[in-house]
Amino acid sequence: MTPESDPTPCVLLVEDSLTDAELTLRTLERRTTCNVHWAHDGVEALAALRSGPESGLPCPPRLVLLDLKMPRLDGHAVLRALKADPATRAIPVVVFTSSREPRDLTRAYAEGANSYLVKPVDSAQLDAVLTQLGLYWLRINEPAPHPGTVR
Amino acid sequence: MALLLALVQNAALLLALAAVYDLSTSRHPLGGRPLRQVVVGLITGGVGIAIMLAPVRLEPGIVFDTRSVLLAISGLFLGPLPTAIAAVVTIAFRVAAGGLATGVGVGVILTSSLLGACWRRWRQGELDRVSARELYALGLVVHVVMLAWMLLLPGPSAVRVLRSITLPVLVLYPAATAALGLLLARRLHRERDADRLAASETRLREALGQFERAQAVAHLGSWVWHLRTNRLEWSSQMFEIFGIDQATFDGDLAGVVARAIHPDDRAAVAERANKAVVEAGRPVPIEYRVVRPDGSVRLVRGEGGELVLGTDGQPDRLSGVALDITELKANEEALRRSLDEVERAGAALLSVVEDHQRTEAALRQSEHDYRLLFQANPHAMWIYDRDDLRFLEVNDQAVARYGYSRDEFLAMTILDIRTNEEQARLHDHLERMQGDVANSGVWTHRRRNGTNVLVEVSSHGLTWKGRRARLVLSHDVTERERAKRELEASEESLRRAVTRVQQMNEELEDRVRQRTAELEAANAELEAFSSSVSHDLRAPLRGVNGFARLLEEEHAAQLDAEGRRLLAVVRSEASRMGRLIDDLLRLSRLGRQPLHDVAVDVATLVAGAVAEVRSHYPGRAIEVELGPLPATTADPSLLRQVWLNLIDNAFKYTAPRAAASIRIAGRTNAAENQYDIADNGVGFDLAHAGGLFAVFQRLHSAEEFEGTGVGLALAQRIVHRHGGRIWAEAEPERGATFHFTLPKSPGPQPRETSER
Repeated sequence: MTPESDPTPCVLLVEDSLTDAELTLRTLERRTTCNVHWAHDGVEALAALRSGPESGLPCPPRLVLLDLKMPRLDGHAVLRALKADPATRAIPVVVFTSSREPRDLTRAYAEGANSYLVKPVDSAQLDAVLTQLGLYWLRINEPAPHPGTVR
Repeated sequence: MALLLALVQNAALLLALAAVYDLSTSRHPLGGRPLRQVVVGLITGGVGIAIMLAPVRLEPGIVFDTRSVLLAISGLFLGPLPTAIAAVVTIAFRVAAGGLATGVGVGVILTSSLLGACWRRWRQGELDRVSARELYALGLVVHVVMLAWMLLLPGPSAVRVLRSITLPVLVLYPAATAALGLLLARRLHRERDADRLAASETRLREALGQFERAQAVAHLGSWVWHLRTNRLEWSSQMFEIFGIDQATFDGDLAGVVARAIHPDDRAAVAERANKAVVEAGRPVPIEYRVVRPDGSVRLVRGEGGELVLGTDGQPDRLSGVALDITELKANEEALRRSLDEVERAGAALLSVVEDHQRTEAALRQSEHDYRLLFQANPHAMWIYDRDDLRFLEVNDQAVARYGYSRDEFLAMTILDIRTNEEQARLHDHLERMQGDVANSGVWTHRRRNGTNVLVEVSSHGLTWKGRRARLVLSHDVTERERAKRELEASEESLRRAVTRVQQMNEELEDRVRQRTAELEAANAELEAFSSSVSHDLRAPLRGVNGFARLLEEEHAAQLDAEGRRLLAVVRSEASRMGRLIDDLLRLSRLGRQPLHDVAVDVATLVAGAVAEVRSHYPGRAIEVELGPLPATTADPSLLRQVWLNLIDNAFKYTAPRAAASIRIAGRTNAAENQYDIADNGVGFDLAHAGGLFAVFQRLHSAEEFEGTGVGLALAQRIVHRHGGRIWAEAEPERGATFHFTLPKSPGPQPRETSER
C-alpha cells in the first residue's frame, strides 16, 4: 500500500473545539491531499475506528490527529485505548494540542504517541506545521501493513 | 734255721698273695658296701687257706703259718665283717685239717682277728698313715698272745714248741705284720688319694662351671693366645661377645681380626697385642669395637694379661680377657646425662634461689617505696581497723589536713572525724560495704579545729599487720564541689535556654511546614491556572489569527488596502499575545522546575544564541564581538534563555543605529564568573529604570520596540536561581550594558518573590 496506489489517504481528526477543527480541516485541505474525518471527542473517535465506514470513516486512517483536552473521553484515554488494541496499535497518532505542559508531553509519549505538536497561535506557523505534517506522515512515512486489516 | 726259712716262705707267700690281690683289686676300694665286704672277707679267707696249705709242720698236728698276721692285719684294715668271714673260713679249714693243735689254732685265729679289730677300734689317726713301728707293735702283741696259746698244748709239746718257735716267731712275725700292714696302708693311702683327686676334680669342674657362668653374667670372655702356633683359644663367652658360632672358629688370629674387629680399630688391636707380648705380662688395656656377623656393633674392653713362658724360656702363650661394655657404656652415658640433668637442675635451683633473693631485695625496696608513697602522698591517707574502726596508720598529709597529731589520730576511731549528721550515714555505709575497692563518695569530715571539710573518699580492703583493715584516700573537694554546684547551676540555666531554643525551633519549623504547605498549595493552583491559561487563552487567539489569515487569503479581493492593513494588525496582535502567554508561562514554570546543573561551555552556547537571534532579524547588519567567556556550571537550557533574551534586547534596541554593534565578554575571579553584553543602542535613563527587571515593565513603547515585557524578568529569575546577580548600566542614546554573574560553587537558590 503505497501512497501512489492510494492517492487519498484517510486522516482521523479528533478535536472538540469548533474553531480549531475548522482551522485544521481547512488548512489540511489546502495543503495536503487527504480525506479527513472529524470526530468531536474521544468517544466518537473510538466508535469511528471500530465501526469503519458506517460511522462515516471511508477508509482505515493513515493518521490520527488527537487533541488532549476534550469532554467525555480525553486524548490520553483515546491514546491508551488505541495503543492497547492490536487492530489499531500500528496507526500513527500525532498529539495536536494547545498544552505546553511538560506533564502532558511526558504522559502522551508514555502512552505511545508517535509525535507531539503544540498548536501554534500564529496562523503562518500553523500552516507550516500542518503542511510538513501531511508531507511526512502521508507521503514520506511508510505505513505499517497492519492498518490495512482494520475494517 | 730251717724253721725260720719255712716261716719266711710262708710270710713271703702271704705278702705275694696280698700284692697280687692288691694289684688285681686296685680299682675297687677295700671298704664299702656289705656285699663287697663279704667278697673281701671270702677272698681274705681264700688267702688264709692258701697260706695254710703251705704250713711249717713242727710236729704232727702242730703247724705254723702266717694266718695270725693275715687275720690281725685284716682286723686292723678290713674291718669286722670281712675279718669275721675270713676267720670263719680259716677256722673251718683248720678244724677240717684237725690234729693236736686244732683248738690252739682256732684260738690263735680268733685272738689275732680280735686283736686286729680291737686295734682298729681304739687306735688313733689315719689308718693309711699307720707307722711301721705301730704295725710292728701290733705284730708283737698278736704273736706274744699266739705264743701264750702254746702253753695250752700238752706239756711236753708246749715246751718243745715254745723252745723251737719262740725266737723265729718273735723275729719274723712282727716284721711280716708290719710288711703286710704297710702294703695295705699304702693301698689305703692310694685309695684315699684317688678319692681326694676325684673330689678336687669335681670341685674344679664346679668352679669351672661357675667361672663360665660368671663370665656369661659379666659378659667377660677369656682367651689364650698360643704364640708358637699363633692360635687363639676362647672361652665360650668370647663366642657370645663376638657373636661367632663356635663350630666355625678355627682360632686363626688374623681371621678373627679381619672378621670381627671394627675396621677402624684393627690397627690398634694389633698394636696392643704386640705390646702385651713385649711388656711381658703387664696388663695392657684396650677398648675396641666388635662387629658381629649380624652387623650389630659391640664395644669391648680387652686386657692382655699373663704371658706364660715355655720350658725353653721363650714366650709360649698370652692370656687375657675381653669385657663387653656396650651396655655399661650406655649406662655410663645415661648416668652422665642424669648427672648433667642433676647439675642443671641444681643450677636452676640456684638461680631460683638467687631470683628469690633479688625478689626479696626488690620487695624490701618496693615496700620502702610504698611506705614513702603513703607517707609523702599529697592526699590525706589512713588505714583503719575494719572491726573496731580505730586508726592504725595516718600519713603526713592527714596530719596536716585534719590538724590532729599522729598520736592523737591513733587514739581515735574514724567516727571521731565525722560530723554528727554523718554518723548514721557512716554506720550504714560500713554495714553495706563489701569487696575490695569502694568509692564511697563525698563526705563531710570534721577537723580538729571544728571546721568541716568536704572530701571525696575511696577505700581499699587490705590486711595490715594481721588485722582486717581498709586503706582510705581522702581528697579535699570543697573547691571542686563548689565549682560543680556553680557549673550545675549554669548548666541548668543553659539547659533551660537550650530547651527554649528547641521550642522556638520547633515552632519555627511548624511555621515553615505550614508555609511550605501553603506555598505548595499556591503552586499547585498556579500550575492549574497557567495550564488553563496556556490552553484556554491561546485557543481563541489561534482562532483570531487563523481566521484573519483565512479572510486575508480567501477574501482579499473584497478588501481594500486599509482593510488588509487592519487584518494584518489583528493577526500581529494575536501573535504577540501568543508570545506573551508563552513567556509568562515560562516565567511561572521557572520557580517550580528543578535545576539541572552541568558544566557548560559558555562560548559555544553564546555563539549559538547569537546565530539564533540573528535569524530572527533578517536583513540587519549587526557587528557582534565575542570576547573570552569562561565556562561555568549551570542549567544549560535556562542559561541559554538568559542569553537569548539579553542578545535579543541588544538587537532590538540597536535597530535605529546604522552601525549597530554588540560586545560580549566575560571574566572570572575566585568566587564567580561575570558576563557582560554591551550595545550602542538607544539606551535608557537609569533614573527610570527601577523596575527594569519587573514583569511588563517597559521603558519604551510597544510601538517603538516590539516586546512582551517579560524577557528581562525571566533572565533575572534564572540568574537568581543560579545564585548570581544581574544589573544594567545605561544612558539614553548612549547604549546599555547588562552584567550578570554566576557563582563557581552554586550557592543557595533563593526563591525570590519580589517580582511576583
